[in-house]
Amino acid sequence: MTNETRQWDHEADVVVVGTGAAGMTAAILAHDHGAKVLVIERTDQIGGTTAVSGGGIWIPMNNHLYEIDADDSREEALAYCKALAMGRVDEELITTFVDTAAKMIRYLEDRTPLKFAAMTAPDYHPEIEGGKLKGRSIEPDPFDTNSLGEWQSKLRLPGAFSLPITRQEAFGAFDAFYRPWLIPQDLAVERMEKGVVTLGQALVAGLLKGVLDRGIPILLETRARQLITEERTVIGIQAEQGGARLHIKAKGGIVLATAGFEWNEKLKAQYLPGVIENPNTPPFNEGDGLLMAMEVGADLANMNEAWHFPSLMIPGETYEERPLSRAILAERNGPHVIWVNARGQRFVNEAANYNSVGKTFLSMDTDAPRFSNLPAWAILDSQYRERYVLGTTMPEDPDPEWIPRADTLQELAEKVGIDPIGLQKTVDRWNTMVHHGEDSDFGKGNSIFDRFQGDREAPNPNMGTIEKAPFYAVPVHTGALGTKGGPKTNSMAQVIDVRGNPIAGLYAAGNVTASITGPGYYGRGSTLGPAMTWGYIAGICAADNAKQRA
Amino acid sequence: MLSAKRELSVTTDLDTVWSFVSDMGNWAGQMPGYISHEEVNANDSIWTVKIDLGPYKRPVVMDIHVVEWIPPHEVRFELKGKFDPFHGNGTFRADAAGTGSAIKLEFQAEATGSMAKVVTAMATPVLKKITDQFSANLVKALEERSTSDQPPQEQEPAQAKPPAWSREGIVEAAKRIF
Repeated sequence: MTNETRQWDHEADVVVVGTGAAGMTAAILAHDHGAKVLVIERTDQIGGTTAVSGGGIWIPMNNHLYEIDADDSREEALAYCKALAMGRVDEELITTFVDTAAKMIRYLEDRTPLKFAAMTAPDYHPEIEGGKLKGRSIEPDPFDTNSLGEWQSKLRLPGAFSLPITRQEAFGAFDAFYRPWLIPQDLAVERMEKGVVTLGQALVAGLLKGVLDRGIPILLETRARQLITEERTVIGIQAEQGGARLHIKAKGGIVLATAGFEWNEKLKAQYLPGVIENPNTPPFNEGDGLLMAMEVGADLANMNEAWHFPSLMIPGETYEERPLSRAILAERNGPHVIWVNARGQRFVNEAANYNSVGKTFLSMDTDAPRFSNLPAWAILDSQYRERYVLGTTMPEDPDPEWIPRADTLQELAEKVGIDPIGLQKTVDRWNTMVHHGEDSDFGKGNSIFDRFQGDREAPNPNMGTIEKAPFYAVPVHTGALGTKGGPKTNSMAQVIDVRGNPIAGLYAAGNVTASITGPGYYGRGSTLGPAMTWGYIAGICAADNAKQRA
Repeated sequence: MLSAKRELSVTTDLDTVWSFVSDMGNWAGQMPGYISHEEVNANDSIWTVKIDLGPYKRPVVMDIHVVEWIPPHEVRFELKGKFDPFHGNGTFRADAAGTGSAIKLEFQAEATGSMAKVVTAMATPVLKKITDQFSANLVKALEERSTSDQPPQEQEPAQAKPPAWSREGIVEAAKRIF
């Protein structure tokens, strides 16, 4: 699209759209490579999806895995990533990621206040070729937000009762999946009082400090609307701020880091095969970058994929005035719980990674236009209830009214709309398999990953009978950590057109792009690892482009 | 332990103040994040309010019990989370101050249960915000009473609604909010 605008409200070498991890990494690298950078952010808060995330980053061959006696190699990382891509991703992109990711992390540790540590969490598929039992997932160290000065109040807050405890502290050292009261509460309180954050907030805060230290301006409440092109080259961007239109020039290029389209109902209906009932991200990810890139001829890929995240919703809880979707962890991974559909049948290894579990909700019945496994419920009994957290309810708290419960499975089934005969058969079979110590239907507990996610104090970390009244049926909801389809990019983070040619001046990183993971999910941090790596590349390349155009 | 105190001045005369506070329904509506309330009897009610923790908000259901009415000055009450582990108590005291009234509010609460420490830390700034907003709402409501020339309007009996604290009640409230 050609635009003859020449009156610019702002001018920069590189304009970055979005303040998640991908965007701020791009901004830092562009600056450090000699570009004058401007960042624009749609909302009044910094951090986007990253800020509400767990902050895990999947980085093969990272410089911290050796600290926890883990190891890795290029060959193993490539084999693993390629296996999970299932032939649907250009292998050059995978190679670029594997060869660049660790470099990106070291760069940020050298040039920003961020420090990272490796987690003992396994890859999500540790048994396939190249999979690892620990070390590839890293997370930021706790970060003191007082260093942000007046920008401290601009840091996006997380979506729920998110305590300032690292993932490794919560699930590695303690058993917070199942027993959140075991986390060091005095430490959490001390950090809260001192403004120290962890998880995604720590990552955002550290990157923001890097941006602020470099004097990179950030325009908040500035929504990017349209790319400005001249002779098929992106030369700027049109945005809205306070009802006024801004024209921003970008000599070297625009880096789109605008997240996915999981809150855009029209785009979801157009591209996604299933239902994402309620995403887990801030409700501003509506495909702004995708639409802008499509308008200038971007080729698209992976559009049918999302970072699936089955969730639990507590009625009345909201985030940014939208219903809140929470992680569902103990209520699927642990003993004394199974998931069933309306037929009362199990349909998945409940302890598998959330992306794989989420994909089972895409299955369709063959005899009717109906999703086979929606609605779905987590069925658990009082053995669960007595031991573990349920949503936000601790064992000693009264049963919340929103969770259906009954003294018999039949009564429970009739209450919520499950076939009672089917449910009884399934539970009977489950209990038999528990006594034999193996889930021969779906393999719950077979994988090292499953057992890592299970209750380490239970006789079997993933399996326990469901036989003690009362019984509960927790509604399961389909969620997503974002979409992962969008404009295709090359190894220089340039957006490419349908002929495979780069669209001059246009770069992209993060969930706005066609993910280099394809249909797969490597492990904790699979969204942020590639996102930040591509942000790193985009910043460098856009800055170099600006020098060439000078 | 969480606590809050406020001293307020209103132009409303003492009798009007007492007429207002002696109906528990009038209190509930002044709570910030008010969703609904159900009056069980003259001394007991169940309130559902939405607690504001910034972009994150969640409904909380609590049992309110008036321990003692001391007309026309004082109300002493207790509260308890219906599904969340907290309890508290408070006092409302009004005295004539010229043609208006001087009001003192005192409130204490305690989070219990296995997550008490972090819940207390999270609740401390929230309690201050709630108390400030409640006080402002109460002053506004009382002063509207004192300036109004109209007698309170007769209200049509409300249609039967599910109890506020029930699953249906919370889902209904959530629908209204969304």
